[in-house]
Amino acid sequence: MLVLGIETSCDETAAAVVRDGRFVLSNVVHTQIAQHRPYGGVVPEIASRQHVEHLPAVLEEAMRAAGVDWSSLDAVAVTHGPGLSTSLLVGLAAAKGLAIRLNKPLVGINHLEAHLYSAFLGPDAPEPAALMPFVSLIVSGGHTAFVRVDGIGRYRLLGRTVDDAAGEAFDKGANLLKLGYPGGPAIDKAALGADPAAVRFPRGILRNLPARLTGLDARCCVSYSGLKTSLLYYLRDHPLAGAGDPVVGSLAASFQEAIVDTLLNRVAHALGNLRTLAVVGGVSLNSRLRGKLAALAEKRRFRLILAQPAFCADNAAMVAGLANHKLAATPPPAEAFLLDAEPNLGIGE
Amino acid sequence: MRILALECSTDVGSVALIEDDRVAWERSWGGSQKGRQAWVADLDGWVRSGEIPLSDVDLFAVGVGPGAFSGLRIAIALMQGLALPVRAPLYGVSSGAALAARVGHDLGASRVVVVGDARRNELWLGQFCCDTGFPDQEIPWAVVPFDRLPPDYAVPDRVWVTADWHRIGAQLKAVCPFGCRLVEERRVPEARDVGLLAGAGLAAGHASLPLTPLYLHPAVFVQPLDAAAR
Repeated sequence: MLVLGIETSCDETAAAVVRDGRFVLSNVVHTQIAQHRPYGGVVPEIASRQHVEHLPAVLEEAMRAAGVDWSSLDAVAVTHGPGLSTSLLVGLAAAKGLAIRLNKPLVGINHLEAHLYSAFLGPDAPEPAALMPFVSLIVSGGHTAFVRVDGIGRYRLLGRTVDDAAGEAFDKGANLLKLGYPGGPAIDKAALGADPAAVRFPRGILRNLPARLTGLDARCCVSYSGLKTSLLYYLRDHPLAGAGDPVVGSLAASFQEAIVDTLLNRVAHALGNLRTLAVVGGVSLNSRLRGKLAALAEKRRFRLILAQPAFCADNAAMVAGLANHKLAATPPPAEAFLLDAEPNLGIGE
Repeated sequence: MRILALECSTDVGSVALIEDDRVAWERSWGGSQKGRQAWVADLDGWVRSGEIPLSDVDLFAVGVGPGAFSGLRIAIALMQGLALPVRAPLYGVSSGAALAARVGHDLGASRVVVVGDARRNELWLGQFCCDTGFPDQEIPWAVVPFDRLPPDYAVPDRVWVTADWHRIGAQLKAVCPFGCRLVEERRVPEARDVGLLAGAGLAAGHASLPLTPLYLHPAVFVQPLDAAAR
């Protein structure tokens, strides 16, 4: 089965063609980082304007790179949430137009579920059935959550951030350290070779959960707002000497260590008696996180699955790949064209 | 030539099929009657039933505003989806020009001022000459406070019209220049006029407007971090 995927939930305009759920024939991503960098974060209105402008070219490039005809597609899949409403609408409308034109099924995809699926993309990736059940850590700019996966479409949210996502924490920390945007790669780079124990920043242990998170396990939830404030106060008391201050490296490493440790401290409890952890999302590209997770996996003897780098950040291959399984399980509903953007769509709740 | 046109710059959307400069078929919907995307399901049904012969469409046309951003983005992206696989041309038409053409025709007006609610006690407006088949925009779009209309507009014998009468009608009555006629009801751009203008524009050699909504406001109202620091 050949599926075209479209992803416009945030600041990446992406399209991909995937065969049989795992063979990625094309994976085109137009990033808007340059447009958002001056503001230190994603500006929804800029993101939406960029999607309208660039999506047609991204779609054409995805089809050209895949080397397939429009008529050979079996379905069109699109992210319908969670994400920025005005951005989701653009991808949704284009997908509907394509599905109507091609007379093919339209499949709405949950962005978080697509991230979970990204671990199964690529010829060398494990088959989904071989891994079930497992725990997945979604860690990205907009999301941080532990999810138990018992099958495709069968999820249970174990815990999530109560405030900022890990990627947001990186962005805010990098902003305070004047390292630029996006913060994750900038802090990762600045921290290389620096002492991660130079400053002990808080690890955000939660003892009580807000009422809105009732039902989740506090031991699987994380918080990053205190960490950001801690760095803010540290810099107030120890101002940087200016651009190029050598202490920035050790502060970046220490800040990064706190983000990574906060996640690692939850892994054992999230796993319970399961022995496989998949880590997906853009922040899973962080070298310190990857290194410490690998060490933890060896020490605790669990299997660690990391999505391939090309499928970690937002992309449409994960959307198309997941759609293949959705279509195989159940035919698309007749009301697929009523699909609307769902900015607050959750998973396993 | 067969043209499929879509207009979604207000909460009243419409789609029309133009055949050889005649309106062959059209439908409209109101945003308050159904969900935001319900009309797309209807569009799929019209294609499936053959009411819209998609494979016979030579040109796709879409209203690009000014108007509601979400509706415009949905319309543009959807039409791109319909046109892209067969590399059919997609032509962007000013929704304001479509409204000016209709009102100019209906009222026999030579000059039409199209006005909209820009929020924050401001309006957007532009003026069209409707003497020919393709309205010529004489005064470009501008966003101004209600109490500071540009002097260009202090001219009689214009027809003023708005799709936002329900929101700004009272304010427009207060500022509409002496000697001008104010259309005291809501008039919305229609797909039939978008399609007709696309055909006329193409025949006259006019280029399509860019296939993005006509933005009259900047994307952000905050300064970039560096500028704020200065």
